[in-house]
Amino acid sequence: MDQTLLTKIALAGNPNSGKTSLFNLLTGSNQKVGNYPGVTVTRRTGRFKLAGRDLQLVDLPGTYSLYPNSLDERIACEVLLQPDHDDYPDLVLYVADANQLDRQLLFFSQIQDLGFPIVLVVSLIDTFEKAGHQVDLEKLAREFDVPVFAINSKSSSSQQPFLTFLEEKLSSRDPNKQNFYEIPAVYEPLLLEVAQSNDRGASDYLDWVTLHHKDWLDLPVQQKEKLDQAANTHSFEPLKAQIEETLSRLQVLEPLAAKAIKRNPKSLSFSQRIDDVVTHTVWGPLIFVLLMLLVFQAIFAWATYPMDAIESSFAFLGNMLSDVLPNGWFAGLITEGVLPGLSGVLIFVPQIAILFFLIAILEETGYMARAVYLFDHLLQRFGMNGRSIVALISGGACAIPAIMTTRTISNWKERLITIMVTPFISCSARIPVYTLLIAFVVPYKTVAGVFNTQGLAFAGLYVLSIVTALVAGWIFKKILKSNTPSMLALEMPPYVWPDWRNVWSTIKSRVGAFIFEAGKIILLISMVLWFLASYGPSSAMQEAEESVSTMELQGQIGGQEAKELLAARRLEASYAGHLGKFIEPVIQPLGYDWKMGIGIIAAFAAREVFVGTLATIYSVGSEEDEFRIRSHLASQRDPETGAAVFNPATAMSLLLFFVFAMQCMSTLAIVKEETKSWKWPIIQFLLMTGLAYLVSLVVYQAMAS
Amino acid sequence: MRDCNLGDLKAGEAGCIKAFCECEFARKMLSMGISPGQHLKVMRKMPLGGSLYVAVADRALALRASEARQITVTR
Repeated sequence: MDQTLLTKIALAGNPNSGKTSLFNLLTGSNQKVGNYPGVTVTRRTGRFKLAGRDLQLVDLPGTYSLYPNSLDERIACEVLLQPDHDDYPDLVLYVADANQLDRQLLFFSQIQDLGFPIVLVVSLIDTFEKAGHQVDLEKLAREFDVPVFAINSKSSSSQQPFLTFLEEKLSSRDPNKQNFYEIPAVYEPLLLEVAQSNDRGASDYLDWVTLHHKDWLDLPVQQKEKLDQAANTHSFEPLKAQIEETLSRLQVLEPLAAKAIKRNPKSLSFSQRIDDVVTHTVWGPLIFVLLMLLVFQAIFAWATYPMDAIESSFAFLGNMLSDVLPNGWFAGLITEGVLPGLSGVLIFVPQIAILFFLIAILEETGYMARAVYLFDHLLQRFGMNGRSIVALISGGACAIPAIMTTRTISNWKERLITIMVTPFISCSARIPVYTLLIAFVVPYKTVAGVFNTQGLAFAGLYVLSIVTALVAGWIFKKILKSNTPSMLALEMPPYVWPDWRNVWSTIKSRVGAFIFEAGKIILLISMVLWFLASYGPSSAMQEAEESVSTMELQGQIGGQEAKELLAARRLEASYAGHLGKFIEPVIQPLGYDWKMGIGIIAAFAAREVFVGTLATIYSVGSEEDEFRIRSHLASQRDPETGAAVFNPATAMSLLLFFVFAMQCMSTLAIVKEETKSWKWPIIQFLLMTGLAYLVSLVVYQAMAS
Repeated sequence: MRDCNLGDLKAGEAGCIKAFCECEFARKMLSMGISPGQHLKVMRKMPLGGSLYVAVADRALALRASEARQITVTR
């Protein structure tokens, strides 16, 4: 093989084959994670050096066959079937788990038949041998006519021996390979016609597979027309041919593999014994719920420390900069627009990192497949998949990392529904709003000795949010169309110890994707919000400032009080204030005044901002504790009627608004990122906010009359 | 020796795969190396028509009840 041409290497293999471990072993920290264009299938590439030359390594999505069953698999096939694809490899490293070796060779045989130079890497050889099985690697190499290398499980292996092997094999190999599959003679006339559809003189097998995938491969129009025609005239039935081919390959491969593999028939499955408990009808869900409570607790409790640290260091930085920078719009932009925006992006990083740390461990060990088994049937009724359970539960902490977990759902419709309904689940940012408002609705009373009414109301809001998410899922299931069949057919791999390199690279890639993709949108919106809240028509702003300074001069108010009043008046005079007044007619039927309108607009940055904004606009001072804010709000009276502004009806209406409404720009940003279009975040915003409006309207009108 | 579909097996019952329907699910099963002739055992089932935990050879597989019905087995 010509060494100068070798630049791109692809890692291929079944899901759970240990492919990613090899990828991380070879590339170390030298990797890049992104997406394939236009889809949210993760594209992982990395570089490593071999004999002084730079090589590019692409980690293809785990795939069982060249006849794909999911979008991930389809992407892997596109890379291998389109010579003009950016990632089209010069060499394929095929990874197969030693424990499943005989059954993981189907895709290998197809890639070899496509004509790629290929190396077979047998992974997890140590656990395989520990179980008392044996594999004769030399025999394997002979039977399959391929260089074979074995690596240990996970982190315990090192890079150098493999590189040495690769270098040696690459300099001395001929690409003439046996074919594992002869296309049956009945298809010969069809194949002849197909061969005329392209002028590149591709191998028969490439022509054959291209014919199967003509509808979605990126082919020249002419070629596609010819393929369509050929398929029609010979009334070609792809699915039937694919099943025939797969069966025939298995019949060839199994005996070949059997020659090299000796299994210890007595090896007792350790995983099976764990599963007796973990997938038990009663204990299984119970263990899962306990585990998720732990995850939930971790996001909640552990993340608080780094989050507080981020917040206070940004506050410190802001104070420092506002001392240094000359007063004016620039200082304002930096300290009140850019810094809070950056802080608003980074504030999510601890939650994302912790969630993906735990999720990656659950995935790596093989537990997640069991969770899917447990919950698939239940969630199917609501248009979702067993994997959706993780998103739904972590949504109780924060919708952003939760939505990012949906990538593992291979069916697009089920994934989309999960993304659409997860933000209904009450997240931690709603808690400050709930605690502030509940007291206005429910008086504190002890119930049955242990519970109190406010705690129960709080729990009620959570239950309401979960029920809403499920009902919404059920409705989406009825409305949305899907062209891909939904399948479970999931292999539950044996339990293994996690590979920490893989865990680390998962965290890194998810945090990176959030900061650099969704982060841009969040920063932009937060600057717009800052502008709206700090600028206004200059006459109005001036008037606001003058009115306060006049009062101060006349000695009516002073010091802190004047400062708070100034902040309130400025906010009122700002564009946000005008916007609040502008939407007042729309929100009045819900029982809100323009001040609450401003609060709702500001809450779009993050729901908890609502409390601080209300404090500012009612000039309490946003630094005050919740108790003072609440008692101050309770004393607010309507200037005309003298009735309490925060009466039970208004507070209830606000509470329900916060349960249902989509008020989080960061969630919308991540939904845009995960669905690759603005269509879905916009629909989500309109549906959730519309529902919130309707419910709040009905409840307020019922309670107020 | 009696043929039935996998969905008819109760938890704890075993059989041998005889055939699949001609469907995409069959293609997926075959791609995963699950083919006629292999032995399988229903280890457990989730209640109310839920998923099946099936051991095929020495592997564990989660199948929907609807998927199990596409597999013909010989008891």
